[in-house]
Amino acid sequence: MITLSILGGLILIGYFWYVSLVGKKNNALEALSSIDVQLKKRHDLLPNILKIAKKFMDHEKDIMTKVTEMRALAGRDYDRNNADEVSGHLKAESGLQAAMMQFFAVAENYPDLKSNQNMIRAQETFEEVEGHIAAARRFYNSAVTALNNAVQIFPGNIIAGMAKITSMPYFEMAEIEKKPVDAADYL
Amino acid sequence: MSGPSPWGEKEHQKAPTMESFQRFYERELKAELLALEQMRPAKLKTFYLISGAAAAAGLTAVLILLTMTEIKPQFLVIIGMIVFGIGYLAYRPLARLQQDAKIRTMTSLCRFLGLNYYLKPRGTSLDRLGELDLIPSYNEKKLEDQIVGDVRGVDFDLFEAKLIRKTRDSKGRTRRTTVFRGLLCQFDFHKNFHGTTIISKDHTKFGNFFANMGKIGERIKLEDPEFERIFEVFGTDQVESRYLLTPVFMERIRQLSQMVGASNLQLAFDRGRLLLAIKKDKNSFEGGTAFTNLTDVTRIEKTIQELTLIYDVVDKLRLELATRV
Repeated sequence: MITLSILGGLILIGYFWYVSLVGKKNNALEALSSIDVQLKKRHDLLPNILKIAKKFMDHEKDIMTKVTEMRALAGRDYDRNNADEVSGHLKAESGLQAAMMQFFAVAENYPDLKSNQNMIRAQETFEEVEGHIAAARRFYNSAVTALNNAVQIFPGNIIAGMAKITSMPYFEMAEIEKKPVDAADYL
Repeated sequence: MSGPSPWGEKEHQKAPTMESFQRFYERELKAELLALEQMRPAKLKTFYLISGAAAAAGLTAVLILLTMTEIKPQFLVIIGMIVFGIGYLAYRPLARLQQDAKIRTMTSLCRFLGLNYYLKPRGTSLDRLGELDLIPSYNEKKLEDQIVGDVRGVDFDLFEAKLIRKTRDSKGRTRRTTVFRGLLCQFDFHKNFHGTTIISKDHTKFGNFFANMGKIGERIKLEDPEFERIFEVFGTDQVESRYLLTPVFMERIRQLSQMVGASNLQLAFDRGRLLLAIKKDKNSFEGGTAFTNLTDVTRIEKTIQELTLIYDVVDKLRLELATRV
């Protein structure tokens, strides 16, 4: 009887642990969706920015091509349940952001472009969108920390292994921001 | 007064110091306060005479009562109430004088700063503040001292509130407790947002369990451990709350909370505005009592110090920044 009670208790604890893990995984996926919603705004904005810049930055085709390529790469479909694909997707987005930073840095050399009202508005909107992306990234990373802690710490790691719940990658930005971006790295 | 002086920046761009206010005081306010001050000695004398006579009469009555063989305690209470009532009636002319001085001082100071002052707040409602849990539930409210205008281009509306909760004890006696005294204000916030984010004080784990019941939205866990130690954040949108509460903005809120007292500050982002509830120990913008000289500059300085809070909120939170980071 005692053995049965202990066994029943253990099964119950294991079940609640499993429920908690699934909840954390779903939170992280929800946060990933939030990021994608915000990233879509960035993707929608880019063609407009490039169109405005094209008139002024005719000699800067390389950087504009790079931004376009990074956008296409970041816009690819991916499996949200596959950690490697999620990681690749987030890296591509980081690369796109770094390329955009480079683009705006180059645009600084074109006073006519800088003072163009459409460009000013586009840049303001871009900064607004980037603010939302940064917020979504913080939400995502917070959800991923909760999930990864639960998945990696005993006895969560055993239950997660049985339930095939895996860790998820963080959405990192700082490292990529520091170095120039080459689209070839991601192709 | 510490920090950058707010004085003169609206009308007196060339002299953003207290000196410009001194000139303004001499030119516009001093004569008015002087006129009121001239009435004060006579009213003060009347008050002392009446309340002194009432106290003496009351004391005599008590002594007579004490010589009697059978003392009824209710008589002592009645005598006390009569003396207090007479004292209160004698004080009323003085209180009116003090309020006149306050209205003139506040109206002048606010006009000097390009702000509007109303003794009785207009167009204010505490309903939403209650729904957001920025103020506790109450039965009676006393609102006064509304200041409306813009500081460094940021529109705001501020007023003072005293909220009283009435409870009944086991014997059916009504007990009145002040559950909030302080300033309630709303500032324009130019970041676009649609949801609600509430930043309430932390009550420790056990207290939070009860305090957070019925809060709007879900718990937002932020990265700043120091901020998390002081505040509990709830919001209707996890991403939007983080969009509003950037690490820089969290640091600014922490600085403001250090200034006003960590447990005295609660905020909310709601319907495009930043709402603040700042608890204070004392009645604000009073300057002083009717027992001190109404033209005393320290009264004005005290009011100035209290008005500086509006500028401190804008400065500490950097609400004037176009980027609103």
